[in-house]
Amino acid sequence: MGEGKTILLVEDNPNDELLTLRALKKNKISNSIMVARDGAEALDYLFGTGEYASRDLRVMPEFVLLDLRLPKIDGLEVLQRIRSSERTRLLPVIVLTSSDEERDIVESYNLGANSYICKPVDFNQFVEAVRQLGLYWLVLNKGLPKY
Amino acid sequence: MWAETKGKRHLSLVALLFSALLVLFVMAHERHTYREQQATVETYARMIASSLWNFEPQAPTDYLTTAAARHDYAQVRVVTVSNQEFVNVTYNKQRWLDDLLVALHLIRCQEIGADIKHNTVVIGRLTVNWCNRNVYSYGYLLLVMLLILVAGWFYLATLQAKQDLESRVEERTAALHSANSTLRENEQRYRTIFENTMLGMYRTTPSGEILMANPALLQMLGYSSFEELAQHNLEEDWYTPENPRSKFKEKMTQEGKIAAMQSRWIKLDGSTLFVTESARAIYGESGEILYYEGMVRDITEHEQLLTKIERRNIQLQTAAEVSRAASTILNPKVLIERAVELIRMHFNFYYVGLFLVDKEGKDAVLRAGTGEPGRQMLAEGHQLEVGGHSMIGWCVEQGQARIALDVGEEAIRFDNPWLPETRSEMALPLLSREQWCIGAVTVQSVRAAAFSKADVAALQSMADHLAIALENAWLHERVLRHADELETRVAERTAELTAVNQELESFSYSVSHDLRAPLRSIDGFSQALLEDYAEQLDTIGQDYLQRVRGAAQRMGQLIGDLLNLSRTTRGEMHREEVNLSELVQKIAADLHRLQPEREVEFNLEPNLTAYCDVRLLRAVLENLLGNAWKFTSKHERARIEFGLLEQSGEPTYFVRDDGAGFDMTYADKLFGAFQRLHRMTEFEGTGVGLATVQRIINRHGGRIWAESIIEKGATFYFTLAVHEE
Repeated sequence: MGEGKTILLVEDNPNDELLTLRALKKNKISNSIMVARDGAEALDYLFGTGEYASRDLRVMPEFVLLDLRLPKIDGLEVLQRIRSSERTRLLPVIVLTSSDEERDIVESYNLGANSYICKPVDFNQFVEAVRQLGLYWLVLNKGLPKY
Repeated sequence: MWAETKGKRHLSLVALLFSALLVLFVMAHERHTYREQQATVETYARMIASSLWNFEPQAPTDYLTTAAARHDYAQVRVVTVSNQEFVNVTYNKQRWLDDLLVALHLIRCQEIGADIKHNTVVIGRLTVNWCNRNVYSYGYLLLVMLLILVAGWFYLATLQAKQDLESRVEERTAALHSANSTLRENEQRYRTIFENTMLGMYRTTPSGEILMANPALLQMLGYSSFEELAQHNLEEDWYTPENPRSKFKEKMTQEGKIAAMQSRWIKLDGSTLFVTESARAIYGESGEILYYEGMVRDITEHEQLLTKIERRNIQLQTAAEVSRAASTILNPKVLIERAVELIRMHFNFYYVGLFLVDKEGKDAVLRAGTGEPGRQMLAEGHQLEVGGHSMIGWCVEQGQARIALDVGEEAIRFDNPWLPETRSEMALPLLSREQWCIGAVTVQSVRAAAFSKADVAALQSMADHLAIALENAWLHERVLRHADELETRVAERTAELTAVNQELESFSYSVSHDLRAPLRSIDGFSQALLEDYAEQLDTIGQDYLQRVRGAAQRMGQLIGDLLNLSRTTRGEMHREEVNLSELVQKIAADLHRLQPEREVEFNLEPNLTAYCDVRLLRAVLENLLGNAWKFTSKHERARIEFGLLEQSGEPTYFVRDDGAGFDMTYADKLFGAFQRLHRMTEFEGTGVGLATVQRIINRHGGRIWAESIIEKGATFYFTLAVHEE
């Protein structure tokens, strides 16, 4: 399924990280997964700063799975920075979070999130959600042409 | 009548004159004719002379006969100097008429003679007897008759005129007689009036001498007799320098009269007499003013009444303004300052001050005072001991007014160096509704006996009004203070509540984020265990892991429901007219779709509307219908109703089912959070749904309650606050 494309997972909780990777694996999504463990790391990766200064910026993730509760720089700010940079403003960002608070949903969409998915507690439901997500964004969705 | 007679007379006079003129004319004409005739006769005489000279003795007789016929001579005679008749011709034509007329003297027959001369020697004389019988002679006759007629007419006219005159004289005389008697009567009447009228009448000279004065005037001025009055000079004794007589005299000199002039005179006893007078000047032959005649009316009472009315007006106006101030000014300080100023200004008092008793009730402290003295005393903190020697102290202690009409005689008075000119002083108590004396008003005047009874009454009523208004103002201040306190308290509470709310929000936010993550881990890794290590676990171990997962999921559910419950109490409501029946229909359709195998009959009343928040009411109806659906699941067939009925005058919605129902013993626990009346094994649920429903209904100002019989079903009723528009 869409081999060779990178997915950026921004997740600080190692359990959730593990479960997400498991869910991806269970759905046979074999793309390389880049995991950033806080907002600052995610931005460093995307903009080639900090420890990712030497990264090849021509390689951009296919999409970003973004948690909202993050240390240092929280998810909404990360989203805002992504949208305000010319390089990343069209990058698909899927908010993947535990919160079903209305204000989080509204604010995410305001800042330009492409999708908002609430992580279910039931792991089976979570696997199902990840499956559909992968199917949609990696297969069905026609992204921007790559240069 | 007289004019007619006069006209006749004039006409007759003219006629007489005309007749006379005619007569004169006729006489002149006759004379002229006579002269002509004389000339003719003389011509004949010359002809006779010449014929005699020529010795033609018969000739004269011939042509004299012809001449007699021609000229109508009655007789023609020629006599010689020796008186020898020479010719005698008689012409007898119509002679009888001439004779008659001559006899009547209507015509004149004359003898016209001419000497017959030869050279200058008279030789005889020709005489003719000639009657002037031409047309004028008859005219003369007619004229005479006319003259007689006219004369007669004139006589008659004159007679009549005379009679007229006489009767006129008689009339005049009679009129004069009657006028005379009227005059006498009038004089009598005038005298009566002069003596008895209420009006004062006088006759005075410009220098002030009193010539006449009627009893009314004497009485007005307080004199007993005219003689007594006449000793005075009115200019000196009736008038004052502030009110001189010069104004009166000036006007008299200029206009000669005065109408309704108001004057002030001094009476014998020194008091003032107010009058209106009308007078005129009487002039002497050379045009100088001899004296004044006038009439006066006493308007002293009227004036006094006017003064009283003016004073009353001032009292009323001041009272009205104090009242207005009392009812509009709610600041006590401003109110009393305005009140003292109003009273001072309108009554023209020297000073007005207001004291209020202090908290201990020991002293009356000045709170407002007029003018510079007021400012000074306020700055000094002027105060008087209650019950002390001051008028204010006494007044406050007794709660009664105290009046000193001449403060010099008032021993109790506090000598105030700031108010040195005070001659009258009054202290009026300010009595509260409960008749407590809360203070006093001091009123001071520079005049002695400055306060009339009416003044005191008016001022006391103003003071009463002011006291009540002051109490009101204080009350108002207290209410304002209280309102301020309340507002502060409300603001504090609101701030507290807002803080609590924010805390709650961030709490539920945390719950939403952080409480779910571990649950997901528990569930996820249990599942991972089951999947990856199933062969290492026996069935019991797998069951345990399933239970772990079940518990985690249930906790996830509980957290979700709790969050929903807290959300219903937060956030703004957006009310509008909502069709509840449509909402119910959609929910019912959704339920059917999820479990199409169930046989449930929905009986829904259409088009029931309510003014509510559609999102929240949808949650209510989802819960109630979901419950009905759930609690009828054990029955093969079910029936769910939604409708509206009226209970104790209130529109009440209801959702009814014929399902499991509940034990009414525990009805009070129905709406508590996490309260369940059924076992988990019977019906699933977290026990949060109805708690949420109740909160929503409460937020809409409504009530919710339920009735049930076990296994016969349950009915949930709810009301919503009616939208008033």
